[in-house]
Amino acid sequence: MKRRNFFSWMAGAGLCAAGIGRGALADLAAGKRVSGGTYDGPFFVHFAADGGWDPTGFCDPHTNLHRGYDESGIVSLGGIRYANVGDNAAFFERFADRLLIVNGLDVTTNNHAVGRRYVSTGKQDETHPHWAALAAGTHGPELPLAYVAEASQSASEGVVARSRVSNSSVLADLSFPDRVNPGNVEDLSTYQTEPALEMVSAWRQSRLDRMAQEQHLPRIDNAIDNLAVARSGSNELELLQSYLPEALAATGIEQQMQVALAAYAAGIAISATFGMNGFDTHQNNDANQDNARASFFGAIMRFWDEAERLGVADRVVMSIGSDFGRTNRYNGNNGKDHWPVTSMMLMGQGIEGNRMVGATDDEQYALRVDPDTLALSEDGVTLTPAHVHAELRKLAGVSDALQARFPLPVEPLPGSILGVA
Amino acid sequence: MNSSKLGVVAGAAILVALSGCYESIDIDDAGGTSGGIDVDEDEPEGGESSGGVELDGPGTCLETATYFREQVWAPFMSSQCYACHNPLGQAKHTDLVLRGNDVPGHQEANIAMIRNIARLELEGESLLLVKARGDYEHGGGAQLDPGGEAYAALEELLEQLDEGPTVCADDADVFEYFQGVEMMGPEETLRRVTIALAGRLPTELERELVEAGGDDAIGPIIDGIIANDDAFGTRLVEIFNATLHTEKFIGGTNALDLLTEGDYPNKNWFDAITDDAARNTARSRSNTALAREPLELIRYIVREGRPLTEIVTANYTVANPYLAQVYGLDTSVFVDMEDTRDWQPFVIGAPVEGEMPPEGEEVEDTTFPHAGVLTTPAYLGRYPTTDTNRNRLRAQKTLEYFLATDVMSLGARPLSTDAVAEHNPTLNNPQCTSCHEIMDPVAGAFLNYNDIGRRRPQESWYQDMMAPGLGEEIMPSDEYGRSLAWLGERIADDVRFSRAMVDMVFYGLTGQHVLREPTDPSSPSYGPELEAFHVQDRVFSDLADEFIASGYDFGSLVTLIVNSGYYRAKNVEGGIDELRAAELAPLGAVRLSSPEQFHRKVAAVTGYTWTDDGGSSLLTRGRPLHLMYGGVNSDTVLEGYEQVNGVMSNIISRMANEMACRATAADFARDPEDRLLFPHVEASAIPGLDDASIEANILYLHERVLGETITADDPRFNDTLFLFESVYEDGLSGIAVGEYPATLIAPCRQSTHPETGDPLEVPIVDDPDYTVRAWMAVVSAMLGDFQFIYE
Repeated sequence: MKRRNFFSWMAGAGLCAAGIGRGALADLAAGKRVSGGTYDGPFFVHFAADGGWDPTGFCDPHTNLHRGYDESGIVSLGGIRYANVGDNAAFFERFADRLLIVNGLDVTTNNHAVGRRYVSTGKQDETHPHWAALAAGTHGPELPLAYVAEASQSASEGVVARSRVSNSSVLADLSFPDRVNPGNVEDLSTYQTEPALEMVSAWRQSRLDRMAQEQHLPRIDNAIDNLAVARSGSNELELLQSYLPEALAATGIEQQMQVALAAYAAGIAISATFGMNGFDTHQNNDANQDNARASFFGAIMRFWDEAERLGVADRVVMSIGSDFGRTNRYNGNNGKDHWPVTSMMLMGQGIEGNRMVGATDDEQYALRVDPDTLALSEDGVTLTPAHVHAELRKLAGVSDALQARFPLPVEPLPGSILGVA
Repeated sequence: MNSSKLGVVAGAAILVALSGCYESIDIDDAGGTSGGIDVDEDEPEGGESSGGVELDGPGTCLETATYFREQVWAPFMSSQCYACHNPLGQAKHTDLVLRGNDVPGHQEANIAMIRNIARLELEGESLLLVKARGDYEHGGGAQLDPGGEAYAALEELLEQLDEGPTVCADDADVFEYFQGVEMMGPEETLRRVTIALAGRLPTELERELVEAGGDDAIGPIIDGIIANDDAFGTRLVEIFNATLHTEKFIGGTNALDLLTEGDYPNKNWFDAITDDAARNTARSRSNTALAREPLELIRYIVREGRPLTEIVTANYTVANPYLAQVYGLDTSVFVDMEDTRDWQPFVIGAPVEGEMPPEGEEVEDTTFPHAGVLTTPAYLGRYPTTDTNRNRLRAQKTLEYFLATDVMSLGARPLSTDAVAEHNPTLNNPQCTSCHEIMDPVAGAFLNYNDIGRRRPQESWYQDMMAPGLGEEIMPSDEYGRSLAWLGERIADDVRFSRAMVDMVFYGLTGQHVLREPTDPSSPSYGPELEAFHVQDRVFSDLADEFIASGYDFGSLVTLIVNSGYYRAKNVEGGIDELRAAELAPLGAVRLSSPEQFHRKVAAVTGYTWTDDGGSSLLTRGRPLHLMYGGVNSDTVLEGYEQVNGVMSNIISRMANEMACRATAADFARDPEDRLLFPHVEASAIPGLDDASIEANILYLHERVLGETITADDPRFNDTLFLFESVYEDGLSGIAVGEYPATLIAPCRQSTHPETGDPLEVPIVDDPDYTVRAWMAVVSAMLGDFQFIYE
């Protein structure tokens, strides 16, 4: 008996094969990618120092505001200056040539959640997605690990599904969901035959299409679209297996970074967020900041190590930030409290490094900059995270539709903070 | 299926859109649950007179508050007037100081202020109008053109306020908002409720009750689940932990480490157990019990039918045999010392009966001053403090969880560095005190608990902070010893408590946070988002009132939420534009099941739990797929997923494959009357010969797995029949050419009775007609369907 061609058969029966649907999928079809492809970069990543770091302890040195160093402890490496305390030297010596430091960012809040949102979204309220989510939502929300969202503030606002990788040991099983023994590369047997799997997939898609046609409530409509998007790219998870390191870290941020970068190398991830805490140093500020920063910078360095090993380091765009800064004085516990002026650091593809933009005065007040030249100017503007995000979005190619849906209160400065032409 | 076409359903009278309006009344209660306006809920339906007040029909009533919001505040007052007339602005010392939208109830407060100002007149004319056009030394000069729309709108507002504000008898906004929205009927709601609350499908009795009683049956069924379903207790814990996150301490000795042996000499009682395994088990169970204490207290209160206010006022706690030993309590009340589910009420430190001191003899009162969850180590330890934080995190969370007051959103206002640089800004600078005057007195109420929550009684509180208390009320110093009990009593008496419970339970049930007021008037969706916020705020405030009227009965609260449009909306009549879509964005009866719920649903529908080869579940807390499927651990991960990602899609596919394989042959191995999936068909039934039974079972599977009650002329039925027949025909042809085996693969076979374990007379190994595999395909397809994945 000759086997039937299932897809032509389905068409005759009025069923639709799995394929491009509406909404986000339709956007994709009209955009730069189509479902089923992989993503080549750049890869967008944000590292969050949760709790509120103290820029005077590293990228915005002021000897009168920090007890850990004097003038001799401030090191210049080309266009950047840093406080040589703790383990800072290893970080800055490695990245000085590509690092952009933005000082004097006014976040106008002492509130952890609000500051964290502002620094990661460019907006203080709860309406906007993380910039890394916008990038993923633009370039391929259907990819199985499009947006690896590990940081505590990783809002997606429905732009793209968040992913978390807590246990990489099961990824092999999940990469081949139809196989009976996914852990055995010799055994390719499946629970159902390939035609049966296709028929099941077509049945599901047919129902989804019918629901979509009948559904008008946005919330349910979005859920339908989202499931179609997730299914369309899920087969590509198996690509990940080729890029995971043999010695995968057991847990924690190390494993999260390894999986995210492997996913990026496999073309199935677009962006990621990572976070570490320990920066809310109301007590013993200097020592505790040093310790937290050493762990944090160490993680970032290992991120780049792995990116280089996988050959993707030249296609990474990284932002690094924290909730806010710490006060310009010590409290009674040798700690520092919350201060609404902070710094961000950025590096990677398209960012002009070895530069510092913005500054604070000796009381850690934000100084204004000329919007055209970015030189300090009393008549200029006070830099905020929104200014940085306006340019980050541009660099990430965030779609016009998403820009319009999540507007920022400012336009990119003519002088370009990131140094993007 | 039955569906309602109103924004409400029967039994939810608070939402019934009896619209009408009248003029009156007092708006002094700016913080009241009905927007500061005392509305008589018993007003007759539209068009009739009530208390001498004319009522208008739906949609024709425009409240003064709405008029203010839409015609005055948004178009010009929020920009032109508020720019100076705000607490920090140039006009902060004038009589007109408006509140921004970062302050709860700001609209009501602003209306009240304008009404007071409007009484000031200059030569018979409102001073407000005089100043607005730039006369009488208005520092801001002319702001409004006397011939312009804004000026006219202000005149109209003042006129309305002078005559008594227009107040709609019920809320026309609510009626308008839910126009055209299709609601789940009672049958659909029943299935959703039993799965959501009890992790099971409806019983036959429950179906009959709903068939007979419709929506009115939902409430009693919910009460029955609360009273009788063991699984409900698990769900209840999840509902409250979704906000409180005290389960953080499960694992290791995380919870036990919160206690000292100085306070609780018996805390490590299990160390005396010589057997290693038994000791480890006892240690683990003791830790889990201490971590669970606040949630088990809530479960006890709910199960006993006590008012939910006891979660902050209970002068007792609960303990199971393990926790009782940790606390050194009298364990004689327990029958089985290994029963982790036996939770009994206790008062720590209370005199033991029979050991009372002689009458007249003074002894130190060692009774622990319990205050519901507030004094449990897990709650206090979950929100630790430092010397400089001074309990502010505890205060912030307590205000948010139990008084619906989000201090953090108040802190979203722009803050200048000068404010922070000032001496003791939290006490002295208005930019800081706006939050701290709310937060710091509550922080003071935690004075007796140290950084990780150990009780260390204090006789005084920091002099450079506001005194312990709540709001305007200062705690008497002789109450310091029972400070949290004092606070809990006031929280329970506060009208905001009921609203906080509505918000918390709604989130636990639906995964949706209540809406926050939009803050960006320049956003194109500001108007519809504001409308959505106000309607939800109105509806939920009404639910809160009903909850109070029920005597803070938890079952009533769940029923109120379940009967609301926010739980039942399932579609809207087509053709809505973008603005209407933005307005309806919060509506939609879909929730991506949490991994725990998904785990229970798979088991409820198929009869088998999804486990690994060792028999351990895959989706529950601590298991490999829990966090990847959007689970929370209450520590580093606090929010679940709202959307399916690619990894989850594969998890669903794997589950569907494995469970269809495991359950299909196993179900056929049972007697037809005992089957969960195939009661109407035999594995040997073949298309063309046994169509009736095949079709009957497909209809049955639609109802059981997907909750769809459909008939054979429904296209969804045809799709599934087509799927079954397609796989069957492909299988037959595959077997015929030798491409497919005529037997099932090993994991999908069934050789023993699934219940008794007895060998089957005819093991289900062979599948010569490919029918078992065709049914497997159908079950697999359904387990991965949208209707199954989403609650």
